[in-house]
Amino acid sequence: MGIISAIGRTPEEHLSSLVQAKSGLRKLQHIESIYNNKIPVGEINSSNEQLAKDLTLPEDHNYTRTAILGCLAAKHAIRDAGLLTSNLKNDALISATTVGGMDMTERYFKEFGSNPEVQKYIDSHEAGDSTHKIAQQLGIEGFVTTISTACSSGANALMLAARLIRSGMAERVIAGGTDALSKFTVNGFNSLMILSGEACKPFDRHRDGLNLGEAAAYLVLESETAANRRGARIRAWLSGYGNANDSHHQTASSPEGDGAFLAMNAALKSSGLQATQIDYVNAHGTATPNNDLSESKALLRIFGDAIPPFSSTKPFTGHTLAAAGAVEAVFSILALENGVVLPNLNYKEPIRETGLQPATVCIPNVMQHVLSNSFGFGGNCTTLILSKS
Amino acid sequence: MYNLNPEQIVKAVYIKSAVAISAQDTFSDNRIPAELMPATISVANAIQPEYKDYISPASARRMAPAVKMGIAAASRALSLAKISNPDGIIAGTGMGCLMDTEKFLNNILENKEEFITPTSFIQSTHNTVAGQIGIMLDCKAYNSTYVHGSLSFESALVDAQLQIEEGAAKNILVGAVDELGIEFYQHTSLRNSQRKSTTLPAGEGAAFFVISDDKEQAMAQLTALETIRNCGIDQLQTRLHTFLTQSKCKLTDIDLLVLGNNGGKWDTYYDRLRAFFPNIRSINYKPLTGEHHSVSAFACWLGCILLSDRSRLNEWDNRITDNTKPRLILLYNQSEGMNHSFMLLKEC
Repeated sequence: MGIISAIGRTPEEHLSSLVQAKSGLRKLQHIESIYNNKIPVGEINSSNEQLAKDLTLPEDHNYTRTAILGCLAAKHAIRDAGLLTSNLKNDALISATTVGGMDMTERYFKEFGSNPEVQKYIDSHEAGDSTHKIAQQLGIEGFVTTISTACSSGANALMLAARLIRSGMAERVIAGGTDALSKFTVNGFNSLMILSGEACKPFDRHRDGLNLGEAAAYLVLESETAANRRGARIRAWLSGYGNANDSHHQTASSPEGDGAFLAMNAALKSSGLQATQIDYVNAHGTATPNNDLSESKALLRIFGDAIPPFSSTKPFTGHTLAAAGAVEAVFSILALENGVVLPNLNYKEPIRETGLQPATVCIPNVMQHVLSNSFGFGGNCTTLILSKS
Repeated sequence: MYNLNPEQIVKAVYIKSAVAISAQDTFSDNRIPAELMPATISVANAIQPEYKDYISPASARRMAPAVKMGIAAASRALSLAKISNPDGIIAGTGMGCLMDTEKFLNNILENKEEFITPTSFIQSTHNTVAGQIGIMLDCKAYNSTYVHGSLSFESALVDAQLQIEEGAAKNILVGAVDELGIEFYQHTSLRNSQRKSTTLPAGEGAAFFVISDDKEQAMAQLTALETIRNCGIDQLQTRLHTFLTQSKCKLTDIDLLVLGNNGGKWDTYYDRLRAFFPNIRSINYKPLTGEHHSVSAFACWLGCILLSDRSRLNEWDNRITDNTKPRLILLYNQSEGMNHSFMLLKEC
């Protein structure tokens, strides 16, 4: 697996930030915006130019920040899996993104018609562009596609990857998501009045909104046969998945968390596990008043009185939108491998209606199964279950 | 325990209904219209249906064309298939909800990020159409959206096909939609003309289908589908051969080609493909729809209509005197030599 976010550029760096409770939230810097130096975000502290250098791109490239982040994380995932790009010809790639190349479009939109120098970014606007670039960088020629189900996109990419392998359509799939911060999403979430001016406080009674972040994370999923054939190290199993729709409102979750409940239920069913076998829940936990209440209710419906330790890791990275599902799958695997429940930063008091208390410090815990939630606009809810190898 | 590679009993996948909204009057009676108008103008706007049968006028006023076209095509596809609640909703869109994306972007740029209202942001997300259909049907089942350029529809269809084959679903609503918007298509058209990638106007449209494991009254069987990211023209024959072999089908079984010619530089791919089928009829549909990312869904609609109604082929092109009903159609599309798709539709 490969990951780049505000708290690191490798899984190891992420683990170290997570166990040391080191948040990556800082004031916005790298995009030109009136919110610069004002709102806290999970921003990767490098300019596009620096990042492009890491990827050794030619000077006239038209890679958006979203594409650069995606390529960096996907390349790392390949190395981590002990693969070379020359091995990947028949592999599949499923990538997730929300606003595609918006980070460049918003810079040059008004010059597209007149300035030949920036017209190359017209081509990089569509959401499939970053996926093609990742495929090209990795030499992937198998099934390639892009998913966009808002903030559950990354989880859906992993779910499709597992289904492709199960069906025999692919032996190995590189799947994950990438999203760079953009003025478009900052203003979007701000206009919805769900951006917090401070570091977010998931599951706290006084939570007042989310922080945005940027990240890319990719995982190499492989059939057991194919992994064993090449003697690959198996870091974890994707043992269950579920996708359901809340069908309540375009941007708000239903009061009882119907979609979340159904997604978790479907994931448990597909894994053949009982709710009591889940050792840790990496919650969606955006810290908006609406999500955390609705998700808490859904957790109560699934687990009853026996809710396993749970936390939201959004205060570390910010909400990384389409990448979030893949980022948190990586975190879930790190939790499994190291036997720790990851901390939910900035929590003080329980939500009155549900009284749930997330894990606030890093707790050692023998773990077999972690459940990870990702919910998005459009009612899209997806749950993954990751299990110890 | 994790059962990653079970024996698959592959189920046949049928198309129960097909509905298209396009620059032709394809929606009003779901037939190939008697009069076809070549899309020779600079943009090929879709003929918008009467929405009041599908969406309340109050809601319709707030909705962009992509959402309205998607909802109307999806509703009709469900009613033709006599399905009220599908086991999944899967949409494709190349550019997403462009109208609201442009609106929100212009709002930010013109007002320097101040006094921004959220409506167009909410409606700009790529999954708006599938989400809205979910809300309209109160359908809590599987819901996903593919945004992979000109393979968005095919990606959605691969997922839908997989759902049926997995036995996870009996009926899936699947389709694709793209809208012109106001500004962005002008930029993409500029790029297209710089690269000579098409001579056709930019178009828009939606096509939705109910696909099912049930053959009863199906319009067609979706026999095989493959997408290829990158294929050099000299590899085309090998890729086609592999596709047909895997589909357990011979070149000579195919009796109609539905091709995505658009007058651009990369039409050489279609010429090459046609040469493998010297005596077979072929249809180029894009001159009637314009070029857009969801146009291959229109081609699939056309294939379904032609397979289910013998009389339609002549109406499509009166130069074709042979009105034998096709039995197996190969659909092929590509975009600037990338994003290739092969699809086989068979009579039921």
